[in-house]
Amino acid sequence: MAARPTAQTRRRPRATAFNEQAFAYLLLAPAFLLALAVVGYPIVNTVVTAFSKTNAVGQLAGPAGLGNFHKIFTDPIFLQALWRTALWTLWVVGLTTVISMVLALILYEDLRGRRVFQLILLIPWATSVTMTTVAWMWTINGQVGLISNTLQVWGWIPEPLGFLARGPSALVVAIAIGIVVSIPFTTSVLVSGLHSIPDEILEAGVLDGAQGWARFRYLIMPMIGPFLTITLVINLINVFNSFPIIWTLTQGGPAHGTEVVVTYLYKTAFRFNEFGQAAAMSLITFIILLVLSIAFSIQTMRTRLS
Amino acid sequence: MKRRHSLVLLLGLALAMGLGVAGATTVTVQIPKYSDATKPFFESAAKAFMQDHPDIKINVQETSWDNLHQVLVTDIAAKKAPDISIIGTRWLPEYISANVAMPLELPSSFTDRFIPAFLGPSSIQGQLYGLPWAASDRALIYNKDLFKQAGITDPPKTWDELQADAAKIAKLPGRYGFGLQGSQIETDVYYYYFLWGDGGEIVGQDGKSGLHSQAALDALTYLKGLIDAKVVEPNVTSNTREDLRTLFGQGRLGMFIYLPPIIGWLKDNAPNVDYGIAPLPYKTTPVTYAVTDTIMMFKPSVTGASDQQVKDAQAFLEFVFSKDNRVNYNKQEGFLPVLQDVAQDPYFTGNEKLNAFVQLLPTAKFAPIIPNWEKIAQRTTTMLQNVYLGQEQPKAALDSAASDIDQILQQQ
Repeated sequence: MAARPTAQTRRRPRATAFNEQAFAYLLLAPAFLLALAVVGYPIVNTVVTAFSKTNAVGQLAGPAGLGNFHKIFTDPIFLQALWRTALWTLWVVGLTTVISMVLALILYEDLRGRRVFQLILLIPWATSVTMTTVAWMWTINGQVGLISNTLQVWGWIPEPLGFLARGPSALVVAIAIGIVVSIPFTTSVLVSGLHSIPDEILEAGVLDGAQGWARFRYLIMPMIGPFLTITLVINLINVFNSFPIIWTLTQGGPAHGTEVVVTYLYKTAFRFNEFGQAAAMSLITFIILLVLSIAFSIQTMRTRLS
Repeated sequence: MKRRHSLVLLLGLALAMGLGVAGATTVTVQIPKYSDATKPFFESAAKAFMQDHPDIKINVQETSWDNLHQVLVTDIAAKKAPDISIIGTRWLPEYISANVAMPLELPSSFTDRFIPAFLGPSSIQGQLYGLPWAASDRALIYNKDLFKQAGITDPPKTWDELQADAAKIAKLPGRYGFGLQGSQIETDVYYYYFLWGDGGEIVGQDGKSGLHSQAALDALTYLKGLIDAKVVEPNVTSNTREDLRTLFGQGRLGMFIYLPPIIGWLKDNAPNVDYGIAPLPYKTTPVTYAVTDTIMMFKPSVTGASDQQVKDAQAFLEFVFSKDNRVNYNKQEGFLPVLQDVAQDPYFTGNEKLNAFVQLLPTAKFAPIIPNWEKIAQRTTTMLQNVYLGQEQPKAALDSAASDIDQILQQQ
């Protein structure tokens, strides 16, 4: 008998909690449905287009089965672009992460003027990627650019440098610009990560003799792991999908030498009017990025659990 | 009682609104940006037109040439196409095959005013689908000072003379003989000047790629020879048409091929460059490349236009081709006249530089009107860049490109 009132008092808040939860879902429903529509519609549309024939102005003209996929996977330019996209993404994300980590560690130290450096670091972030690319394009321009002209005046080179005249060197330029524009975001996140490490842990580490590399490897790295994963995933998606840098520099040329999937996708859709094939390409990139993102998330969850 | 009252009121309101809509139609005009003068021209023409037709509203939308194709395709797909649009003439076959281009029925008193050759590109199987907007052809632009310094008296007429003169200018310190375009839009066209100049064609009589021909090989070997002889600017594959224009404006380039707006551009940006305009050097066939962009109307099925709106759009289309409007337009943008009465205007007959371009029109070739033009252009450009970079030999590169283009031609 004594237990009953307790049970009653326990049940009541639970019921209220349930109602509250349901009410919360109800309130969230419109926003959720909107988000679902905004995210879902393009995906559904892309899938439908990828399996359809299309006419010159992008209207659907009957089912195509796997025809579009067959065409893009027998197109050597697309396959090269896919491989080049992997290279471009790995180089940009890899070097960005290493450089940003070093910068973050420097900015974490109690330097004089640290805040000023942090502010300077943020400026490129506030500039549009296209603007940054155009500025660099003028700097490296073979005929009127700063670098080529200076080296010529000094007599170090006999002929203007043509960074953008060849695929490989143009790709290196694109990668360098990609790194420059990715550093501010990455460094900022990593600096926040470093600040989230409790001082006691580092101090205790110092007492135990963890300094230099050991301190970084065994104390800092595990603590900022989640932050690192976030920057990796976001950079991976951003760089993989990055259009403005390469488009502004070379439009994927010369001779497809800097062609990545997104630039080729754009040409396929809006120059060649092959909307079905373009949709198939974007579906492929979507699946690649989805798999990578899920893999990263699982990895992060595992690390956290262990 | 009260309810009926409000119902009547509602009906009246709906009727009034309906009348309002019927009373004022809106005609949307999509234009690309040729220069800073493009939009002001259309806006002042729209203003003048709306003063005469207070019941019509003209809505002018501008975008960049780079974006225009994408904007139109997206608008067509959404059934929100503009009533009138300027387009690249090469897109017209796509729009006709997709059944979105409106055949134009215009009085002959109007169409007779055009220079007949310029109506050709937008007439398909005898039906007019558009009117020529910005007309241009190409000529050799040469720097008279550099010619003097190199001891050259007249501009080159043949391929051999072009190479010899370019070599002389390239000997001057920091100067390049001839500008060869190797990057981005119209890289293929720069090659066609030479293909045509040797009697070749882009698409042969047999409907196959003209790159199979001996003329195609000769032209490509010739251009590659210019690169190897170092009489063209270095790093050809990084230079767009506009990069060449910059070099010429800096006085560092002896010759290059460009279109009429060069006159206004040099006047504004490099007034000290003393230059001449000459026909393109050729081997067997004198030629120039003529281009007209097209101004056309989309069908109501993709614009949602009423019959009245279609009539109003056509009225505006005829209005922008009034003599005064076209004289103004050509003056501001520097293109060639497409109307005979405009060509007779003292501004054109008295303009020696512009006349040099007009004189070339009898030898003009237009790009063939074929679907998949952009794919062929891309394939040709890639082939050229591979040869210019020395990654492929001319013969092998042409063979492989020609067979690819044959396939593209069959796709229609």
